[in-house]
Amino acid sequence: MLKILLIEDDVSISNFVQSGLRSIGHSVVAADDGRQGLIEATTEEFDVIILDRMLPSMDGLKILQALRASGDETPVIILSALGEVDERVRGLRAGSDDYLTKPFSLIELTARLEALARRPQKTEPHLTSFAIGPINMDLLGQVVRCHGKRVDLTAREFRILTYFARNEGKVVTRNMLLEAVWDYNFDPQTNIVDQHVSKLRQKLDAAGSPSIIQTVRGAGYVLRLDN
Amino acid sequence: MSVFRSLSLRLALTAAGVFAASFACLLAAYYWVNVTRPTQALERRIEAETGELTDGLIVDGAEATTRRLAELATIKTRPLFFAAYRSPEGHWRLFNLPVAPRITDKKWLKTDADVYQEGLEIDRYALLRVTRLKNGAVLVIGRDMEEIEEIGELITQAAIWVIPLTLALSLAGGMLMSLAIGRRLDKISRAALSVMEGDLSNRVPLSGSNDDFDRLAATLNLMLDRVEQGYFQVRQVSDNVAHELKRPIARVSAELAFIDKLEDPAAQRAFLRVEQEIIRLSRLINSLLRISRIEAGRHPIAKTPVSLARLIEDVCDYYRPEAERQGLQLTVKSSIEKQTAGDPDLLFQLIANLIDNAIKFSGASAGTEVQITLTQSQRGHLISVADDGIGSANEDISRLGERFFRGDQVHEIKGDGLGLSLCSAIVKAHGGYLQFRRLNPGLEVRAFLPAGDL
Repeated sequence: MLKILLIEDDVSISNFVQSGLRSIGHSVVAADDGRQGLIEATTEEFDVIILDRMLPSMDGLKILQALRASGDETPVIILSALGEVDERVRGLRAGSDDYLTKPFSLIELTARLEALARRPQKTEPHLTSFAIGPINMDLLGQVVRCHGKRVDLTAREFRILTYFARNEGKVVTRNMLLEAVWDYNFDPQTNIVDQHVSKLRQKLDAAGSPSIIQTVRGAGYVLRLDN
Repeated sequence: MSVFRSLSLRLALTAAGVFAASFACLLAAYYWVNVTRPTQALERRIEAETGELTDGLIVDGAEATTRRLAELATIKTRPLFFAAYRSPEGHWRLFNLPVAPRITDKKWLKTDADVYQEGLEIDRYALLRVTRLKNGAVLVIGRDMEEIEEIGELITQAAIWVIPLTLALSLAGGMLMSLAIGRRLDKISRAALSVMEGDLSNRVPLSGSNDDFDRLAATLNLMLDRVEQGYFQVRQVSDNVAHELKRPIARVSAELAFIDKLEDPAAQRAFLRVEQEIIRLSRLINSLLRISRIEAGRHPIAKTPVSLARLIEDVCDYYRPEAERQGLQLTVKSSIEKQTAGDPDLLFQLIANLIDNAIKFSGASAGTEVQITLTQSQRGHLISVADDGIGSANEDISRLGERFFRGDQVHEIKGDGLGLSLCSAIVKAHGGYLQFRRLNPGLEVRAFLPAGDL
């Protein structure tokens, strides 16, 4: 259950997001104006802030900068109609943690919110290995073992598995995978992410760890230990 | 040579021509006043003297006349008197003439009459009138026209030397002028070209002399200010369009999301189709806006070092599962590893779209292989993606880069027709171009990227 602040002036979208998030069990505070939103953010503690880029009174980025300048480190995800790479970069530089373009699906938003909210603190040492059930990942040596036996993965498959491991238990959408695993910001005409995940799963299954990466219908995938 | 086609050179030549012509006229006038008219006057005088002396010859006889001739010859006043008498027997008597004149049947005769006196040569030029008498005698009367002759010579020499010299100097001066003007005009056209190529802030430099060119430059700069202004107004509108188009779509998506499931299966199916269309519409608008922004130069193009070979490798890495699934072979031939300058994300998108297309259109037909080649020349890099699939009709080749264009033969295959438009916008933004070539079977798309400065 996350405590979420939504700063969005468009009534339809605001209602949509609020009811969607509440139906999953999160609590949402909504502000329809930048100034109001900033006041809310500074007076209360939130797990995640959803910030619309184009607001009537101020540019969303300015609000974000003000927030960060005051020392607030609450994760922020920006919603925007502007989808260009340079806009994403601007948003990230201004201190946001993720960026989602309209129109977006609720599932996408939810997955990213949850991924953001439980991000390990910046002070934690960088992990160099993961152990998930029978799977052991050595990030430095780029080696994966399952039940002690080495699994032969391509560099890309290794990155996909790493991303899953970092987000264990959380839903990972195809877009999230595309952004995290492929260095370039591009819009593929054909979504081939599924095929890459499929190959990874085949290899893991063959090595003896069936179903560790599960499909979440209509959303994406999740790496989960329990069946 | 463009210098010869220049207007300023033609003007310079015309002015030179006019000047030379006026000079020639001046010389001609001078000649007429100082040569022609005095000659005519002298001729009239000689004619009169001839008439008188001829009458005298007939009336007074040869002896009296020759005495008269000798008298006239001694008079020192200019012009000097010349005479010659040939008796009916053929005997010549000369007065101031060094030799007997060569008689033809012409009335007038001009001849040199130079003499040597006290070691000096005295130039004389005789204008002689020849009269034949009935008895066979010949009377030649004349005057010295040396001075007139000298002036005539001078004028002729002047004409021969000065007029061509004038023309040559004018030509040289004209060329220099035309080069200088050309340089000023060049600066102006270069500034205008750079603005057209996207550098809206560029302006024509003024030389500070406030001459005609500076005024022209100032006017052009004003015009460019307007162009830049208008451009930014359009840009503002475009950004608003992005927001305005996407907002309703986002709202529709949001409303649709509230509909869980409809009871009526037909309605449910219709609902799902509507959802799909909204997604498709949203993607279409995004693509269109992206293409427009890149074409208008409003998408910032990063100029970072990029390894095209690496990009191609990464794109193939992404597409390999799909290629395998369709039974296609992806082969890469790369001859170089030299880096170029460009926008990595856009170039990745370019290559991805090309390979995506190749796989899509190859897999749908009997294609077997997609060949990607990277070659380097002095001018830049050439990326070629060739498939042996459905290909394109001959008449469609030139239209492949158009927005939404899809040939008839790909009717069955899914696609929005914008993939190649985006590729085209990206290569052009990098200063290159796209080329399409029919292969039988299949299609080859070539992207040329000029060598960038790193």
